[in-house]
Amino acid sequence: MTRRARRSLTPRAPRNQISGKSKGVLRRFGPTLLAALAAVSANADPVAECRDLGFSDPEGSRNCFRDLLADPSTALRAEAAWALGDIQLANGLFRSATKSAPDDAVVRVRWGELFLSTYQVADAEALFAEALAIDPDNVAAKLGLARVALGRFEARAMGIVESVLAGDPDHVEANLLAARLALQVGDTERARESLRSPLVAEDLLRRLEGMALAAAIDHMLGSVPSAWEAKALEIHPRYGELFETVAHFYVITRRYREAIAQLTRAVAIDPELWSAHATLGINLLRVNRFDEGRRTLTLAHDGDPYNVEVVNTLRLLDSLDGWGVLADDDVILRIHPAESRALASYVKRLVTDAVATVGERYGFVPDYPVVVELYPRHQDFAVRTSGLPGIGVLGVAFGDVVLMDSPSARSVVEGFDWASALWHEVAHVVTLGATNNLVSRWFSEGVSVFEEWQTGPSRFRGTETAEGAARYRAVPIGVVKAHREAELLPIALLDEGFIRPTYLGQVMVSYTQAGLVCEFIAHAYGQAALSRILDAYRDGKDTVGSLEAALDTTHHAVDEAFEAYLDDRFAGVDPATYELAMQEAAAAASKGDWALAAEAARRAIAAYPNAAGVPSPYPLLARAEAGQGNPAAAVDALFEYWRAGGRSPNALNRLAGALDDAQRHEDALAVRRSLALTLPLAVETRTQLGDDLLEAGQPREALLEYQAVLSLEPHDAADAHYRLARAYHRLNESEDARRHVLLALEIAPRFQDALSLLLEINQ
Amino acid sequence: MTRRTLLGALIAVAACILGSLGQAAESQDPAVSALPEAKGRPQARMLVVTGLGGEPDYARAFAQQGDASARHAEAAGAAVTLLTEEAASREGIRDAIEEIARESNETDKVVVQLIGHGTFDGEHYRFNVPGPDPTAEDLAAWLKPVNAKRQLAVIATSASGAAQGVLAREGRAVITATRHGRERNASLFGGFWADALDAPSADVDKDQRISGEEAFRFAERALATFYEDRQLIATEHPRLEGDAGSFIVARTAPGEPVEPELLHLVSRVDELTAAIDELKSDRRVLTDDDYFDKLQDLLLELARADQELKMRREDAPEPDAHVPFRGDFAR
Repeated sequence: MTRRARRSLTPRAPRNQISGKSKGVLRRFGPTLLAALAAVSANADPVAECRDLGFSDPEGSRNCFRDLLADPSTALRAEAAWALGDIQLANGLFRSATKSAPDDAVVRVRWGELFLSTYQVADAEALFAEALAIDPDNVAAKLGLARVALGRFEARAMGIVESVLAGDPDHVEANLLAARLALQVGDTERARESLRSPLVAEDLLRRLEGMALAAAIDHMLGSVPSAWEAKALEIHPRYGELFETVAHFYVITRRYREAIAQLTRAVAIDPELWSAHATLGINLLRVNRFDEGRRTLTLAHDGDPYNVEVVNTLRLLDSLDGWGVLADDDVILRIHPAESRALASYVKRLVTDAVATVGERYGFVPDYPVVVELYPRHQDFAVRTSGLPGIGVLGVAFGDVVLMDSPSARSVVEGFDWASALWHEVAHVVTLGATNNLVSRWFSEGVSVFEEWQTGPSRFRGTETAEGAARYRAVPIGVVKAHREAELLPIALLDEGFIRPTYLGQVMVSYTQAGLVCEFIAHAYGQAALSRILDAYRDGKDTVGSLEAALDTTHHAVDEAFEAYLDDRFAGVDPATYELAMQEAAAAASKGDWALAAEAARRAIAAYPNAAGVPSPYPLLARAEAGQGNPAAAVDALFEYWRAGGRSPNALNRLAGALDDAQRHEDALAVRRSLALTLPLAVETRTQLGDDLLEAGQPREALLEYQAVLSLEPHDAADAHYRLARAYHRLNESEDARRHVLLALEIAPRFQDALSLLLEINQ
Repeated sequence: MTRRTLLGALIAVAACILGSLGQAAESQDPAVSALPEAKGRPQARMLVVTGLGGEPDYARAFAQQGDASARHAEAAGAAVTLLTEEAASREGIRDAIEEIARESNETDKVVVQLIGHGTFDGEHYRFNVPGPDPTAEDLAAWLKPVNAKRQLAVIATSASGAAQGVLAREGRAVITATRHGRERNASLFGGFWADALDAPSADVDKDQRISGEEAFRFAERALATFYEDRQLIATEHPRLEGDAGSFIVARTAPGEPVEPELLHLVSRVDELTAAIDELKSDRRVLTDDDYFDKLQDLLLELARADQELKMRREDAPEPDAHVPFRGDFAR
């Protein structure tokens, strides 16, 4: 199946809507759109009249709108066309209406709503902005912009809504948006407060939306079944948006199975609610129900071919047809065929190690396999995750399903440590599983970051003699600054740093802060305290309740103690000195002034110990020491770098060679393991590790490395076969040894080492 | 020094002729005599020219690449002329090619390698050197009198793809760093070509010699990996037209002298290698078992002959340490 366009340039209607096959007019409207419709048409009620007729007489409603198509008002005809599903006609009519009434803000708002309903958010945003330029007080335009921001999880949404409510505290639509915003961050009390006016609104559609949100609050609090469901269905038995709304909040709190149950109810009472079919399909994929997900998305696409997320996801699924699935009791791996052999053994080992290690530390070892999908193209991963390209994360865990960029999707040069990222995601599998997905975002991220630091493949290997900040793994310098500038959020509000960041870089700061909070809790209260917090989340407590129950203190006290901990942890870290020293070291190195470069690099290390990111002072120091003829000091610097979690391939390669030269073969092997894990698709790193393992008397492990090399279709295929033959021969697996040495010699008959091995095998 | 002539002094001891492994192929090659001229006249001539760098980093890189190519060719037994800096002028290049034309004969192999920046104005490819830049047409005209039947041009510059068609000629393989003249960014190909000369893995057939084709394939792949790893759009796509497999541009090990009493073993190795090639060509008509059984038989015999050759060589006196790698630039 091929699908052509990601999006249309102008809104067009699904074919079946144009043909008028009976969708109740409500079908085309999401709850918020309907509310907006009512808001702008309160006094011009032909549209409202037709629409309200739909509650009792769908066919009458359609006839009513058909009559409106003959109205002299272009804007009204546009509304009628939209309601009847002829989106192209509606688009053309709105365009005409704005031309004939260039100063009419209301028409622009309605046109923007049309774009919003057809997934063309940027166009909608532009029209709302145009409307506000005409009429700066236009509330509908403001709320249109708020809805755009809400969909993007932008913090400005709240500001817009609050500004509207400041002028009219009972504004129904603004309160509906305020309730959604509160519920996005789990503030059920505030959400309930905001629903007071919508729940008694005269407009039935707005009241229904309020009921759906009230039901969602009940679901989020675990108080199900919600009485609001029956009340809403009593008003409108086919109000599928009720369950779709509830499902949305399950999705954003990562309870995909619960979301699927709600979406299934939504499409059961309203089989033509295509948005619910789409969300259902995407969430079925998130729980690894591939076939059902695909079928459901196909259905959604048939009903509404213009949903970008559906089109993108179906195109992605088409492209996955040739992918293999490797499954056993522990891991189900969906992986690109070109990378399968090279990555499978590493992924399996990382996942099983992470499940066992992290699971044991938190008292929950999943007894089900972890599904891992690795995408060589970042945009495919993004589409698989959210239906849209352009997300900034590297991996995501949907319960027991982990999706990630494959090592080939991003450059190591930009600091992508895929193995550590996989460890992070598997830690999510543990925390989500341990709490039935009730864990808060920040705590799940915090545990994952903390476990990357403590137990992951690039963990910090501290030395007992270290003092001050050198005792700890370095965190990004921006976090030190954020702490000193009081930009870190109180723990109770830390989720907002992820969901609604207010400054550039806050999401990354929040990740690290969450990790630091977990580190602090483990330090001050013991590792078991982290498990107790998970238990509290599992029992339905929120962040404040969980912290206070597990730590037996107030969350304010935890905040204060955390701040003091960071003061101590970052004591002596001097960002300004570090940055200046790094610049001096780099400048001196470029001129070959190794003495100055070494001095400046040491100053950088003193100002910011264990900095192993990009750039790091340790490789610079190593170069400078080598430049001064101090190879042992160069090795020490690189070894410190590796212990601190540094993974620059060039630095590790130099280190491994130097360790070999210094007869420290065991250390060299450990470093080469890190190097191969960092660059698992590089023939050289895997070959070198295989050689080291064979040398160290571990032929079985060496064999895996050589098999990986062969799967990468190396330039020197004869050599790859020969090394495989050597490992098989060492394992006394003569037939495989013979086969591979013959394959090597078939390519290169004069390959001396292979000829010798052939003789040896046949002796 | 700006002009360096390196005579890959093939000081052939009377019996130190072709290395053990190269002889069969050469003896089957009508264009190459089985034995080189015993007086030490090289059978291969190479001109390496490094053009203007423009910036110090490029100048340094081009100089290193030129030096690597010249050094490896010399070690493989070629007579090498390396032109750098002022000597790498239009006239300097013309004169060097004229010299090659004078000194080479039909059975020789001639390699011309240009390293640096090139341009293409939509009509002419030009190689950037001090003074007037030579065009691809100039190079083609200067090479015309060279009567060596096997020639290789390696144009490792930006826009060099534009020179492909101009330099193409029967018996001449042409390697360019770019697919066409519109790939104008500074080329990295020359660096990867130089890497190939030092990389044992470039020698895919393990005959201890790196051919022009092997160096090209290595560099082509390394270049693609470079761009892929950095997720950059590749701004150059190297191109090889013709047979570059018969030009040896580097060796991975020094050649072994062949004592007269070992000639029969060398011949046996060559016969077995030819038999293996023949078996490989019959691969499709044999079952897997048959094929691998026969292959193993031949390879075992080859291994034993090779082992005996090695043992006999170990017993022989050490060769003169000053004798460079044997002169098998051509095979």
